[in-house]
Amino acid sequence: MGALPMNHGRTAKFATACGLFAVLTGCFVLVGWCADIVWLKSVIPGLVAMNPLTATCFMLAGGSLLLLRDPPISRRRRVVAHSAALAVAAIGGLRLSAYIFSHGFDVDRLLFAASLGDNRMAPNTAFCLLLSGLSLLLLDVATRRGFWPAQFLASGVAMIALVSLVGYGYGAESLYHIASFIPMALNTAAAFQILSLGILISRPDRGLVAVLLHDGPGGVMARRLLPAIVGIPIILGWLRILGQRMNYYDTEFGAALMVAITVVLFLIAMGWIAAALNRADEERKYTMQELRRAEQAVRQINERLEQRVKERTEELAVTNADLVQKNRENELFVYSVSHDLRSPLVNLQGFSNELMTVSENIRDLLGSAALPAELQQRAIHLVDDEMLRSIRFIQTAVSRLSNIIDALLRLSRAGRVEYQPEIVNIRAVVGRIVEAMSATIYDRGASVEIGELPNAWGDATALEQVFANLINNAVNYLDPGRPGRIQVGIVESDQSTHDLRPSVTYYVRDNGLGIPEAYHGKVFQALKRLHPEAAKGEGIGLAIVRRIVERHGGTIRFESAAGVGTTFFVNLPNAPVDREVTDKVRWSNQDRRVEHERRSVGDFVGRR
Amino acid sequence: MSAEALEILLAEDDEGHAFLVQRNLERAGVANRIIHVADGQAALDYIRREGPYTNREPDGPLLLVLDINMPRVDGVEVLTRIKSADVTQKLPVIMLTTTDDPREIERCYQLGCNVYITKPVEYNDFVEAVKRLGLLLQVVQVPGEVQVA
Repeated sequence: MGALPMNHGRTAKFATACGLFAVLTGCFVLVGWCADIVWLKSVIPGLVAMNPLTATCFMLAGGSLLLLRDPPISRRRRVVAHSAALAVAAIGGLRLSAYIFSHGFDVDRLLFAASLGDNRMAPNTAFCLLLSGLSLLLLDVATRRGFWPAQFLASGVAMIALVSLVGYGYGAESLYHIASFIPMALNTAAAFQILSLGILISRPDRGLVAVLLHDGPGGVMARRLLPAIVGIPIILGWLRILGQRMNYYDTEFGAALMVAITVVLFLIAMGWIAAALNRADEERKYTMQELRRAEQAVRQINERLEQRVKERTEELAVTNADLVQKNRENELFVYSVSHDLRSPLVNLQGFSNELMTVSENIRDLLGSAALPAELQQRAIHLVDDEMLRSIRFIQTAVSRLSNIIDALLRLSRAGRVEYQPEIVNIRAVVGRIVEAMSATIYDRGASVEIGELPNAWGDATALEQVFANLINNAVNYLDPGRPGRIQVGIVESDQSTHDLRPSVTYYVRDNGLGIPEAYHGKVFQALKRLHPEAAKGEGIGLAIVRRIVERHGGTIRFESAAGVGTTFFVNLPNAPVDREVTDKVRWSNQDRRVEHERRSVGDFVGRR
Repeated sequence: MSAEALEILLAEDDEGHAFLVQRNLERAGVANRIIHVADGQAALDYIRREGPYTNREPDGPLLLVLDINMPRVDGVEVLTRIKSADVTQKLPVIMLTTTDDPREIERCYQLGCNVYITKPVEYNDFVEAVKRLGLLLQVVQVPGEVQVA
């Protein structure tokens, strides 16, 4: 047996081979008795032959082992196997009792009685048969303490057989020959040896056998040492006897020599085992140490990472709070500046109205006054063409300024107004917007296609503003040169969105004037207009749209080409947004926006 | 109690605005006497006959036109104080301001203002509101200043 762990297939095969060996041995012996072939009966002529009943018992025992070798075992099979085992034990027991009690019921003389001569079943053979039979019967029985009696019984058989075999080897008759009884036949001893090993190995997962077959270091060690431990003493003993017979030394010296060599060899074996165990233990310790060190390292890395993440999160939180604060300040600034600008504007508007009224009164007076015709003409011309025209310019400028201020106030309000998030039916929202604009759409000869529009999560009023602005832009900046076509729908699978939260990407597409590449950077800037001639407005709509979308934790982008058309893509959450995620998204967006808005405010103030 | 007896107290820090309000009311034929004060504190003093107005003789019912943005005491503050005192809480009030912030409008109505008008005013709207209040005042018993005293 090598150092390899025995797997189940190999142990089962080994047990089968052992069973077969016992059966075949029995067969050969019986054939030998039938045909009177000496070597089949006793292997070596001159030696005792195996009793035919013993041979029968081996066939029974071997068959029983073959039936029991590979669990699970059917009930029927077990009954047959146990019957055979019982028969073997009974025969062994009967023969043994005949020896002990001399009752004369000689079972061993039942078969081949005529040719048996003085062949009997030896007492040790009978004992072995009894043990083997019991062992097979009790093969799957455990004591309450977890011992397996079958293994002890089989070990007993193995030991007795070994004694006989060694005895044959050394030529010591007494080893296989008990008192004045017939000795155990050589083939009987060999068959017992094999049979007992087969019984032991047929249950490899139990007791002693399990220890031997274990794939741990103990099992490996045991399997390595087994041949030496069995073989070396046998060989040493044989050498001792050999030396003694040749008169190299006497009995005492021989015993001393053998003991000494045995001691030395066992010491060597012990040293080897100890060294191997120590080495294994050291390796284990080292591995454990390395493992612990690795664990420590991993823990440290984790801690450092966590620390970093924490720091970074804190930094982000601070930056975020800072940006939110700055943004709020900016919006407040825009709000108060716009507000303060309104006050003088009221005067400009009011007094230009006054001037207008006064001028008209003067003209009326001039018309009715009795003045020289030329003077009257000139005066009326001055009032009409100079004064009233100038006033109208002032009024136009004032109303423009007023609109800009209103737009800025709207933008700052888009950033400040409290949202009431809910599920918003975008389909209904877009339907309402298109309905409200149907007159304009009809006038422009445009068509609007509304695709499937799932719900979004957000403030209903704000989201309506988003879609109203986008659709309004699409309608206003259509190309008069071709029939307008506007599509509203969703992008089925959008790779550009964050996978951080459930969202839906809507689009508003037109085949209008489009935006030239050079202006793409200014699309979302406040007070920037590309086609002021196409429609009224202050250029605040898309700035508001972006502010709203980003406050919802969404994103907006567009694709456009001059002369082809524009598509706006709006990504909005469609379920309540996880706070943390929104902050992250908002942070990245806010960064750019604040940067941009600061510039717009700066521009605005600078222009003053 | 006649509509002519109604006095209009205009609290407005911007001289231009005050002038425009008065001029447009006159032009629209609102003949009521208009008293202009430059801030909220003066308005409160006038109503309560305190400070410089201690010796003022109380006469007819009063309509308040309050600008919101004023130094010292602003319009909302005046509104709050008037509406929280029993004797003055029934005075009709028009808020006049440059803000069209819905929340501020909401707040003023909650505080009890009767009309809220955004500047730059379409003066026609303003005059219309004043006239309507004047008519309303004939129906509803506006507290005279005798009661205030």
